[in-house]
Amino acid sequence: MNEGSTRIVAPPAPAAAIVELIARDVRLRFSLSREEFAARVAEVVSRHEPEFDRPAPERATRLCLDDLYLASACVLKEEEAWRELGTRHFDFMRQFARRFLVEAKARDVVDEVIADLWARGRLRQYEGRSSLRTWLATVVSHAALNSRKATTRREQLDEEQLRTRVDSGDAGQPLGDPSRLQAAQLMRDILAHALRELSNEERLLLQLYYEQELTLDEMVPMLGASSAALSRRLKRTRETLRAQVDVLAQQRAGESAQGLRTGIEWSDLDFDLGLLLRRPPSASGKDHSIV
Amino acid sequence: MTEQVHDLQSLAALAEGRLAANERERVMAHVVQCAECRRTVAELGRAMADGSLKESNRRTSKVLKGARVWLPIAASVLVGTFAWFQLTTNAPRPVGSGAPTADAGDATDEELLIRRSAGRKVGDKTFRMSGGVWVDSAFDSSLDWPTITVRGADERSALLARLPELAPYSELGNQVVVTWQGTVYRFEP
Repeated sequence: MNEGSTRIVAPPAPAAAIVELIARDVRLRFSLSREEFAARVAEVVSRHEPEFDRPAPERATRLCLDDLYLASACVLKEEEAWRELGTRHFDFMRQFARRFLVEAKARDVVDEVIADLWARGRLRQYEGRSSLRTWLATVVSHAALNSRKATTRREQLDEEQLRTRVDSGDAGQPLGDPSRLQAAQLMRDILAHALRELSNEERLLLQLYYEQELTLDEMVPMLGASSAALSRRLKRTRETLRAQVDVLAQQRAGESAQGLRTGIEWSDLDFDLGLLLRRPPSASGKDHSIV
Repeated sequence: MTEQVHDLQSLAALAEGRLAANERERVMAHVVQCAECRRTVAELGRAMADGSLKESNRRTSKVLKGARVWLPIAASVLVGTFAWFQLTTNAPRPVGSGAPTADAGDATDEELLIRRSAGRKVGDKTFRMSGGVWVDSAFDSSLDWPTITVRGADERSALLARLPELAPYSELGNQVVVTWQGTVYRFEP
């Protein structure tokens, strides 16, 4: 993306419908003119590949135009626009960063993000496809996570330790018996295979629920379904998963999952799900593909 | 979108449920593999649910902000008027006049009104602001105590010259109700 530009370069004249849309939905309060902004909107909608089948003005109606106008004026370093951006969003950004970092560190990270928005024109990346505040939260979140990664590896080490425990087929208690260890390893591989059979949406549902510990209500906007529908989907996904695990256990070990997991609590399965889902398909050391 | 290149605009749009089906699938395919993006969308989901991502609408905020300021004031005025009405109508009545005294229900209401309002400690007494009047917490309208109403600066000075102990209480404001040695002193402007 073109981060460093300081002035919007006008592409071919935008559709009159976009100009009308701007007149209707945008409060033109900065020196950025309607025509200049229309050019920016036309540029943004021209990049919406998944929606090429829709006419540009229709695509433009789905954008947060007023937020995009503010961001575009900020890219041009209009002082009024920056003042408004600061008043409306900077406190929120600091608060949001505190979800990831301690107070002082959160402040530093947000200051860096703000400097980045200003000096390197990062706001140019905002395309109005979400509210500006949500986009800023996303930027802050990644900056905070990167900062945390850079300053401490403790969390990663913890994760590695936990993963090692899971890899050994146990969530905490050592499995002294080699046959139990082998069964646990097999069980884990079977589960990993079963998880890979799920759709991305089903995997994300499980990850958000078990790994990120989101409530169903918190997933509603993202997954585009009511919490009741998500609850049913979650139940169905778990049933599918369990059935698949049973089939695979029968195929691989000639016994039911119930028999295979001797010494491994089924209740642990849910607890381990987040870690197992995180493993990329190639992460398994051996080829356990099902014939 | 790969693990290294996070499409933040798409993530934000995913969190708000604004993506078209095919783009949503593409972004989800990345998110299930990327711990960072997963953590981000999880926090966005939480923030959206707890309302912190919701910016107060600037166009309606003036009205709402106005309401936030004026509604409590209006409520205070209403409550204050009611409390003042209670104080004046439930003031000590002549014994045996046959006039109804404040019943338990009224007393409870008044107590509640007073308890909800601001308080201030002067010496060993606590006062509550009720309808613009500082009222001594020891004041009980159901007690048939004699009441002396002190109106204006002259009367106030004359009384305080006689009873200087009341001076700290009278300094609370223009309107103060204080009990002192079995008498209710009602300072008014």
